[in-house]
Amino acid sequence: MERLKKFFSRGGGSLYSATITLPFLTFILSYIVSLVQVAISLENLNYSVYSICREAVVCQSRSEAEDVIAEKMDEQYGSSFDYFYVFEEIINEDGFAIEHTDDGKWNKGDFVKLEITVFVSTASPFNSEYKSASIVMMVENPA
Amino acid sequence: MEFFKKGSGELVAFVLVLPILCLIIMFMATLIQVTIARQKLEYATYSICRAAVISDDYPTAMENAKFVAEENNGFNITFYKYDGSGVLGSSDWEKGNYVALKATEKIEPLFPIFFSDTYYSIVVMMIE
Repeated sequence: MERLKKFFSRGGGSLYSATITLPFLTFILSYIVSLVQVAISLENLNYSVYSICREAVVCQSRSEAEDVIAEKMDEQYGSSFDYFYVFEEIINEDGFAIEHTDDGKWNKGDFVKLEITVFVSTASPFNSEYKSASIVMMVENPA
Repeated sequence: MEFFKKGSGELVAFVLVLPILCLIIMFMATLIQVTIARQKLEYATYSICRAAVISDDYPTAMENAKFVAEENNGFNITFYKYDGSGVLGSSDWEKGNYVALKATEKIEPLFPIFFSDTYYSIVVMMIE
């Protein structure tokens, strides 16, 4: 028993310090993992916003574009993610494009912006938050 | 007191190593920032060029491209001739011709020593 006690007391110091530093190390490790998770999520989000907006701007009408966006969002994020998106028309007040957007119709030369926001849950609570990506494109429908 | 003394050596070492650990995390965050910013630049370049090549004439194309670039992230854009013989002019704007668009952006990441730079993306498209 005495030998056993002596054996454990030899590494006692390291054990205490490991116990104290372990929470910090765990925090750092989870933060690093969460950074990678955020990076992957943002990459996916950037690709989603680009591909969905691209499908929208080649539609024949605004309502068709909105349907396509809703369908694609549901397909990609469905009920598994907490998400929302904003699809809006941008008016170029300095340029000629105002002639197109003023009539409220969906014409070639109009500009639209799609912004997708998704809640990204990560290993670290400090990095778990809503992340968003947006893109501006020109409507390509030759109406 | 004896309890803390026993582990103090390792604790001091950890405190000394902590700044290096923080630097490594900053370095990783910087890599991620640059990767995401460059990916956004790539997609924006494509959108900007699409807005230009489907426009009817040269002034309209430039106006559309500038507006999309400004709205996306304020990227600087320049159109070049596809054969590399200089900047694209209004006389080169003809259906079937190819254009090269170069979009640039100054990225200021968290760890600026090695990564703070002007990044660019180039895309080639045919005028429609």
